[in-house]
Parts: sequence; structure tokens; C-alpha cells
Amino acid sequence: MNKSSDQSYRPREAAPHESATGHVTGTAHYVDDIPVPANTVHVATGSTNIAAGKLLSLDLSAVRTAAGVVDVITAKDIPGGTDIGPVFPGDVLLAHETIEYAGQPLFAVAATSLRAAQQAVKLAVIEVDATTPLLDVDAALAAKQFVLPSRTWERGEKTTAAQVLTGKLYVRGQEHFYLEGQVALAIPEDNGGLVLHSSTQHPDDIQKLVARVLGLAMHHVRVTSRRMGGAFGGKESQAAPLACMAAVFAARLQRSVKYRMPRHDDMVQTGKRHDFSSSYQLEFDDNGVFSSADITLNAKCGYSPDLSDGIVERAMFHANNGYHFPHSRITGNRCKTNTVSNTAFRGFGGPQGMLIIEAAMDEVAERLGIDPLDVRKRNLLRPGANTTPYGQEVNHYVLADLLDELESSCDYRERKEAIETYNKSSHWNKKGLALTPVQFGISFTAKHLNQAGALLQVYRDGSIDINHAGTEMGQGLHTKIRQIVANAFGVAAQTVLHSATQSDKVPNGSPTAASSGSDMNGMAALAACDTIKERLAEFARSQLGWSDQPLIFAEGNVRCGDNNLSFNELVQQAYMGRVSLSTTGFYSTPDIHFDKEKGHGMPFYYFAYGAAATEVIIDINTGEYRVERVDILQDVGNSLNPAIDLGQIEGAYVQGLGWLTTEELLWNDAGQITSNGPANYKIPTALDCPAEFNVNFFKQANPQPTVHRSKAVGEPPLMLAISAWCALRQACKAAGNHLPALAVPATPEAVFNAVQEARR
Amino acid sequence: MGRLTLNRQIVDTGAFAPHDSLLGFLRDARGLTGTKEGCGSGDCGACTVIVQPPADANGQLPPPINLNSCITPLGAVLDCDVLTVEGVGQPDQLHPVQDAMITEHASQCGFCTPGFVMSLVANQLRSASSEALAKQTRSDAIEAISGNLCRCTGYRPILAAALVSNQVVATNPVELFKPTATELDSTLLNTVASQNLVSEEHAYHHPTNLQSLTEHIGRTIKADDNSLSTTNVLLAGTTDAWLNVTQRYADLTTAIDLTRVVELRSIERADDGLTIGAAVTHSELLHFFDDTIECPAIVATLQRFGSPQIRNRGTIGGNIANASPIADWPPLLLALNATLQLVNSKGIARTVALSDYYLAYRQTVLAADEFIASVTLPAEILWHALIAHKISKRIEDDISSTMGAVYLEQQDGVVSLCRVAFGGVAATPVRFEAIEVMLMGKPLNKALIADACDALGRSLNPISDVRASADYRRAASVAVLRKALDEFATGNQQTLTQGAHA
Repeated sequence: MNKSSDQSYRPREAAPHESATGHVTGTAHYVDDIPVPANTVHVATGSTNIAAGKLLSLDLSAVRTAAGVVDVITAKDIPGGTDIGPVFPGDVLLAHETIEYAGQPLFAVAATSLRAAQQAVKLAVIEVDATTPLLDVDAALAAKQFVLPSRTWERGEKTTAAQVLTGKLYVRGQEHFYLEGQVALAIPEDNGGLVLHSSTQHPDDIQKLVARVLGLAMHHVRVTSRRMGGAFGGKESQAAPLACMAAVFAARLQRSVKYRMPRHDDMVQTGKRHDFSSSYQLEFDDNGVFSSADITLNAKCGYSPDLSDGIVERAMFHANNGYHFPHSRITGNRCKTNTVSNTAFRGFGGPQGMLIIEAAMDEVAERLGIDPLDVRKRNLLRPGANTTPYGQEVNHYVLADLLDELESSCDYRERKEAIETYNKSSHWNKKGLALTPVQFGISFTAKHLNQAGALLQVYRDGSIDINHAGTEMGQGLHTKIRQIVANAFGVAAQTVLHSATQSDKVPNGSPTAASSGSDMNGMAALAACDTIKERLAEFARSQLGWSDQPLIFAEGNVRCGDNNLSFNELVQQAYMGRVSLSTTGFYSTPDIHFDKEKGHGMPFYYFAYGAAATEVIIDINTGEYRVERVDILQDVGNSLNPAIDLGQIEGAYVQGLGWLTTEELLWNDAGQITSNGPANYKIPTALDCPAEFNVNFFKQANPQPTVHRSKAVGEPPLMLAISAWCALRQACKAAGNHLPALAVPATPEAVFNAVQEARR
Repeated sequence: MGRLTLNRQIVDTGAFAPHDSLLGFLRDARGLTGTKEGCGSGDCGACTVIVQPPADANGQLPPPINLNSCITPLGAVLDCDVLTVEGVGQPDQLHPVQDAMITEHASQCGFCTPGFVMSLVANQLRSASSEALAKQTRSDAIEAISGNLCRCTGYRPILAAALVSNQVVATNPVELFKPTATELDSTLLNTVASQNLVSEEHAYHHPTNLQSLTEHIGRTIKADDNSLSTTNVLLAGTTDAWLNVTQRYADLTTAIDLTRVVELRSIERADDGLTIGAAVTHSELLHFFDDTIECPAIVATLQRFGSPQIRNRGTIGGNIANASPIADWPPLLLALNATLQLVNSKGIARTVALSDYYLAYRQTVLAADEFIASVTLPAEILWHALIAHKISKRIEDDISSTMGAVYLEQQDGVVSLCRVAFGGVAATPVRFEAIEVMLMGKPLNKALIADACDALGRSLNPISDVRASADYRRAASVAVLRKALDEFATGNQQTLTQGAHA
């Protein structure tokens, strides 16, 4: 019955996910599924719902005596201090003295069960001298409160233009809603250190921060992550508080400690995609060709820096999407608010930056009476106009061809006409169609993170274990790496086992983020394969008398001229010949550099491109709507695994669709999050999957020498969903006489309001 | 203590508390970690399992149901056959659904996957016949998984896996329950089921008839207890009540489960109307109305009611008893002029019109020792004379921003009978009698519809909350009324979302 277990898969082949059988049978373990030692205790945290103030008193006597409670800690009980900022100081494990958002943990309890811990934390008596909280971007701007310095990048000369358009857009954030909530399990070891099982995208960060809060050297902390039940950026920095808290209790109690956040706590206490309040002034000629763009991006960062420096920077990098601005002035403000600290989310600020210019494109088209697709095409980066606002020259002009191909394959012009006809005759329902491009920069903008290591071990029976610092969150990284390694040795995929990511196997790992997982870890793994293959070749030449010709690894055999051995046999002989069969591999992305202050350089090794055309229908009386058809053309280079890449594209589109339609993050006037559970925060369901969903790859190898000339695919397709938002706005226009403002997300209520505006 | 059949083996629950959830039992006591907790509130479906309830009083086995084990009491599944993902298939012996999920690349992170497998298997088990299963469409697959959230795939490959595996199973059905514990059903139901399960003060009761139910209530719940008791509770489908346990961490001392009380489980058509037992589930009613009574408004509303997992557990009585202003049944029932039969711990019954039942936000005329026994819809109802529209942020598995139901009969070119009801616009579900009076005796023309809509808009004073603003609630409610009246006037339907599965 199991069709998936006994086949060999190479790169470019649609191998199933390496854990697929485990997924469908429930036998794949996540952290909460790992059998725990008998005396394991469970953690919950206590907080107030006051968003800002000074802590006057914290009476925990009833908490300490509650049934099942084993230990209670506050910030002063953390040996290495409460700060766990991943890049800059400011993110705290437990607040002390100052309360900075509603629901911020003030103390933590370890108890014999999660239920006992959760019941106990409610018994605290907390006295706070409340102050007026800063709850939104405007309040923070007015008070000049920022978590990190603002930056402005300016390039080119400003000239006078025929047309000037100003506008603003408030873009709401997004809750990750990974199905597996945040979780960590800490197990003390007999050398004073600990083992951490963490659902994290960044085991190295967990290792660093656990060592910091315990006052230990990093080598005393071993972090392991086999798989996550979804992450999407939400487990890049946000997994750390759980691991650190579990570690503090484990060190104090010398007992195993599990800290799993129930969904409500996760939605209150962990960061989300940033809201952005942005404004723009665009200048262009009567054909819609830009001469200048002045864009200000104000991010709601929450109370602390977390990863907001890079997130706002990436929003700035993508404020031009794939377009050329002869003159540009782009400002990024990192506003401090008394809300949970916002964090990485698939696209890392890029989507919010890109949405501004795409919204503006439709307004330019509206002003001039030109089809929006034509305005977009006229402004693409092109020969002679190929410098981005941050000084990187684009030399591969993919978008023009890609847009032409999609325009034609989805019958864009014909359908526009058909929709116009439909809208004239349909009284209550209106349709909209939009085709938008994506140009997404690939590389970490923090240069030092563009490095990856791998550990390759060939055992003497011919089986192979590959390990690297990349983590598996469902994106299929381990499946792709396994294919890369199997292909390098010409063996079947099941010969290669991909073991859990472990900080004591590959040190100093970068987060699995920025869509870089297979690019970087794949190259590191390949480098390790090459080293072992060289050793085998050297052994074959010197000990087996094979010729100097290169060894051919294929179909489980190794050939060299007339000589031929099975891979297993060669490995066996090499072992007997005392050849080292384990090695590391390392990769650092070449060529990239960037000066943050000047806003100039080459931050990206290459760009991933794509475009989508989305058709929607709305009910103008209620604002309800449906996505009817989606056509996508995505540039993945030479796909490492078409099934996985297709899954990334479809999944990212629907996730982006959720961000822009039904997922509405809301806080009340006191600063408490009101969209605090799945009953009131609505991610897409199966009905929201477009009924007609045509996804194709743009067939072109990556001109840069990436692993098998593939391209990154994790984040870029999320922004394809911008076409759905633009299409909804066009449908609202069809209900009236002009292009209205449309809120983000475009809930039925927002569409209803836009229809009313279009009719005014 | 109690027994149930778990993946075809009879197991003893050991001592348990009334607030223990089925999910905790599976994961912690039985080590069956394939069933996941995604939300703990019945919204994501990661904890979905399949339950074959015991045979009813006539010895009939009801169809197996998929449910959210996170909001199902362990006590609720005593004497049932429970099937988890581990009982559906193993790595070396995959169920066709599991096999198709692999070959269609339908898992990415894999955390939600067991829940999807269970919902797809349940859909197959509930299919009327192999022929019907083989004919299922994409819409059927969407409905089958509408209570399961996936954040990775965008659902397209899961829908593909559903259709592929349906074909396999239609040809080669897979037996999942045999050997069953059918002998348990007959022996235990009458002896163990209504006994104390832990101790006198810590018990989960399963009364099987009205008399036993009233006796249990008389022992534990006092009529003059005005506070909504959280330690001694009546439980039905627990799709709302259990949030006290999983979200507010309440402990229960005594639970009295209503779902096996035979008198509360029947649907009867008689001269005086259609009487629905309070413990009849939404799924059962969906099938009843689909099969027996042509009422498109009720069927369409029920298709968007929660999710399959919620509909399989939630009851019509529970939807009324919890007095939520945003429940889906009350607007329909108000428009249909329903009455409730209430019974107290002494067995004394009274009849109350639903329109008199609600007093204020989450307050009703129900006394602490009283329960809803049944709901009666008058005999003279014309089922096509009901139109309902639900507006929510997300179409599937969402709570109404507003929901309206209009019952309207016309005779000799004028409105001869009319009832207008809404949920989500006030502290309780409400009828708008002033609008009804406006419409009565007049021809349903554009001017009248516009006047009625204006009047509704003026009379509404809804709240703003996370689901919708007051302004939108008002405007959307008016739009719902206009749509309904337009449909009565013209006979044309004009909506995108109703009948989304049709």
C-alpha cells in the first residue's frame, strides 16, 4: 500500500515529504509528543491585562500554596538576567518593575500538570500603577517613541513631473497560527548543562539565550529540533522565551520541565506580523512612468526591538517591488507601542512594503485611465533603468517576460472585457481581476547570517546521515537536502537519513528563515559530499589502483573507467583502508554587501520572481466575496522538488490571501488583543482555496550558481496574494464610479465600506 | 471508572474527573500522541477522532461521528467505540486516505494531518453507500474538512487526496470498528452508565431516561441557585460549555450528561407540529431536514453551522440554553414561532414561547434546576416561506456578525403572515414585531421593502466588537432583510455564500 517508501528520488523529482508517512499516521513526533521523564513539571505564566505601568506589588503567596505548584519565579530569579533580546537588548523573559503590554508575563509557575499551573497563576494579586499606553503607530510617532533608530535612503535627482499622487495605507499584521503552539522541553544533564527540545527555527539562538539566562557557556546547552508543526517566522525568535523559561526551572529543580503555551497564551504573548501605517508621494508622467517615489513606512513594532530592525529594512527594500524609481526617498520608522513585540512572519516586512506600491499602482492607473497592468509593465526595472532604490543593479530582467507569459496564459485582456460586460449587467454582484508581480530579494540582510554548515557521516554499511543547521517546519527542507545528498552519491533517497537539527552536530547555525534554507544548507551539504567523494577517489586511486578519471556516482554504483564497485562496497573498503568517512561542509553566500546607513550596496544574491492573476466576485449589499480563479507563474529556477515547490506556492498564496482578507488582528482601547483565539481570528478554510487554481513554474535556471541552479521559494509567493486584494478593490470600483480605498485586511465589512465609498 | 473501546480494544478509563477531556485521556493516559491539540477550543480540528456512539433504545447504531476530542468530556464517550489515527492505519499498513495524503503531497508540517485523516475517514464512514461515496465532488470534500484548519498547504492537495481515496474506498471498503464492543452496549449502558463514576461528590452521570435525569438534577442542583453553576452542570454537546474547562480551567464536581436521555433524543411529527428533542444534534437535524422536509433555509444555515465536528456534537437544546446572542438556531426558530418545553427537577413541565425565553444577555427564564426538553415548531409552517442569511468574516466555521431569518406568507397579493428575527444585533436573539406589523396586509413592493429596511436600520443599536463594527452590523442586517424580502417578492436568490456547498 505504501507507494512512497521504496523509490529513489533525485533533485527535480516530486519526492514526497520525508516525514509524510509519519504525518499521516500520527507517528511523527513533535515536542509535545516526546515521552517525558516521570517527574516532569509544567509551566504557565501570570500577567495583568494592563498595557503600561509600574508594578507596585506582586503577591504570589496564594500561587505558591496552590495545589500542584512546585516552584514560582520572578525576573530576579533568572540567574543570567531577564533580557533575551535576539539582536538588541529589550526583549524580556519576565517583566520586572515596568509593564509594557497587556498580558506580559510577570512571573512563572512550575506545577505537576499544565492545568494546575494554569489554575495557580490566576491566584496572584497584582498591583500596578497604570500609565497611559501608546497603542498605535500614530501615538508612537507623536510621542517620538521608537524601538530603534529610523533610517532614510535617498537616491537619484528629483525632477518636475506632470502628475503627483499622494496616499496612505494602513496594513494590518497577521497572527502566524502555526497549528503546533510554542513548546519547549528542558532535561537537565549530569554535567550541569541541559538538553532542550525546542520547536524553533533557530536552535543556535536558543542555545545562546538559554546559556545566557543560566550563566553557562554555550557548550553546556544542547538544542535539538526534529520538526515544527508550522512556524512561518513565528518560531525564529519567539521560541526562545519557552526554552529559556523551561531551562531556568530545570536548572533550579533539576527536573525535566515542559513549557507548552495553550493557544490563547500563544496569541497574547507571542509576536505577529507588523502592522504598517504608510504614506507615499509618487510623481509620474502622463503615461504613468515614475520619476520619483517618496515612501514612508511606519511599523508597529510593539514594546521591544526583537527583529524589527531587519523587518523594517526589508519593507524598505521591497517598497519598489520590481519597479524603477529614478528618484527615491524611502524612510523606515520603528515605532514603539505598548503591545506584544512584533516579529518575523514569512516575507519579513517585504509584503507590507510591496503592498504600498501595488496599491499606489492601481491609483496611478485610475488617475490616468490606463489598465493597471500596463502601468506596472511600464515601470519595471529594465535595461538602462536597472538600479534599485538601495543601489543594487538588477541584471536579469525576468519580470517582463514572466508578466507577458502570464498575461497571455490567463487570458487577462479577454477576461477584463468579459468582466466589464458582466459588471454592466449584474446588479448585486461585481467582479474584479488584477495581475500583480513579485520581485523578492534573496539573502539575509544581516550579512553574517548568510553562512551554513553541514555534517555528513557515511557509515560503513553505506548508509548516510546528513545533518545541517537548517530546521524542518513543513517546508520540505530535509526532503530537498536528502535528495541533494542522495544525488551526489548516486544512491536511493532512503539511503540518506536526515537526523534532527542539533546544536552539538553543527554549531553556530543561522535561523531557517529568509527563504534561505535549501540555498545555503544545500550548498553546505554538497560541499561535504564533495569532500567525501574526493576522499573516496583518492582512496580508489592510491589503494585500489583506479585511474585518474573522475569517479561517476550513479544508481548505487561508483565507476571509474572500467572499474566499478557498488557504493556500499567502496565505502566498506574505504573504511577498512582507514579513510575518514565523516566531514563538515560550509557555505557562505558570495558577493553580498550593504551599508545600512547610506542605503547602498548589494544586499541580495539574486531575486525570486512571480506573478499572479486573481479574479474575485463580491456581493455589493453585504461585502461578502469569493475568489473565483487564480493563475500563478512563479520563478523557482530549476526546481529541487516540484511537488514541494508547488506546495509552497499554493500554501503561501492562501496564507497571503488570509492576511489580506479574513485575518483581522484587533486590540481594544485598553490595549488588550481581542482577536485572541481561532473563534475570533479567522485563517482560511478549505472553502477559501480558489476553485480554479492554476500554478505553473517559469522555466528558467537561476543564472547565479545556487544549488542545482534552483531558487528560493518559501516567502516570495506569499505576496502573490496582493493580486486578490487589488482585484477586490477593482470589484468595489465596479459597484460605483471610482477606485475606493480598501482596508487591509479586506474583510466583508471592509469591502462593504469600499463599495459605499466607490458610490459616493 | 468506566469503559470504552479504543481502536478495537476494550479499555478501562481508570479514575477520572468530570472535567477530564477525551484528548487528555488519549495523549496522556494512553500515549496516543497522533491526536494533537491545536487550539483547545474546537476550532482547528487537529484533535479530531471518530466515535461510534452506542446503540440507541431501539438497538440501532447511529452513524459514526468525527468530533473534536479537546472539547469532548472523557465521560461523554464511555461505552462508545473511539477510533484515533493510530487505529486507522499504521506506517506499514496505511488506510487509503493516508496513502492518498502521501501521494498527493497533502502534508507539509504534518501537525494538522491526523485530524484531516480522521475527518476524511469519517466522511467515508458516514457516506450512505459506495455509489454515493464514489460520486462525491470537490464541494463534498470541502464540507468534510471544513472543521479542520491547515496553515501550510492551502488545502488544494488535501481536497485531491479526499477524492482519490474516496474512489479507492468505494471499491474496497475498509472495516475499522470490528470487532466492536456491541456486547458492551447492551450490558453496560443499563448498569454502569447511570452510576457514579468516581465518587459521590465527583461524578459524571449518564442518565438514560427523563425520570433518572430529573432525579440526578434534584440531587445536585438546587432550584434557588441563581448563579450559573460551574461545578454542578448539565452537559449536552459541550461545544460551548467545555470552553469553561479548557479556556478558563474550571473544575467540575458533578456533570449530568443529557445526550443519552431517550426522551430528549427523538424527532416527532404530530398534528400539533414538529417536536425536536433538545439533545438532537445539528448533524442529525441537517440530515432530517435534508431527507424529510424541504426547507432550504434551515439546510443552508446548518451547512454553515460551526463545522462537521461541532454539528456532530452540538445540540439544538444547547444552542438555545446557553443563551448566546450569536447562536445560529434562534433566529430561525424565532421566525418559525417555536415553543420550548421546559422540565424541572420535580418533573414538572411548562411550555414557553421562544420569543419569551430570553431575558437579557445570557439570561433566560430557565430556572437552575430546569432544562429544555424539546423544541416544537407549529404544524402550519410552510417550509419554503423561510429565508435566512448569515454574515460572517469567514464563510466556513465562523460566528455570525449578524444573522437574519424572515418567515413570510403572501395571500391575494399581500403579506398575510410575517416574522422577522435577528441574531448578533442585540444582547439576545430578537424578533422585530414593528417591522412585521409594517409588512402585514400590504403588497410586497419596492417601496414597502425600502420602508421596512429603513425602519430596521433605525431600530438597530448593535455593538462593535472583534467580529464587526456596529455600523456594519446595522448595514449588513438591513442588507439581509432587503435580500430576504426581495427574494420573497421576486423568487430569485442573489447571494454568494449561502449554499456554498451546493
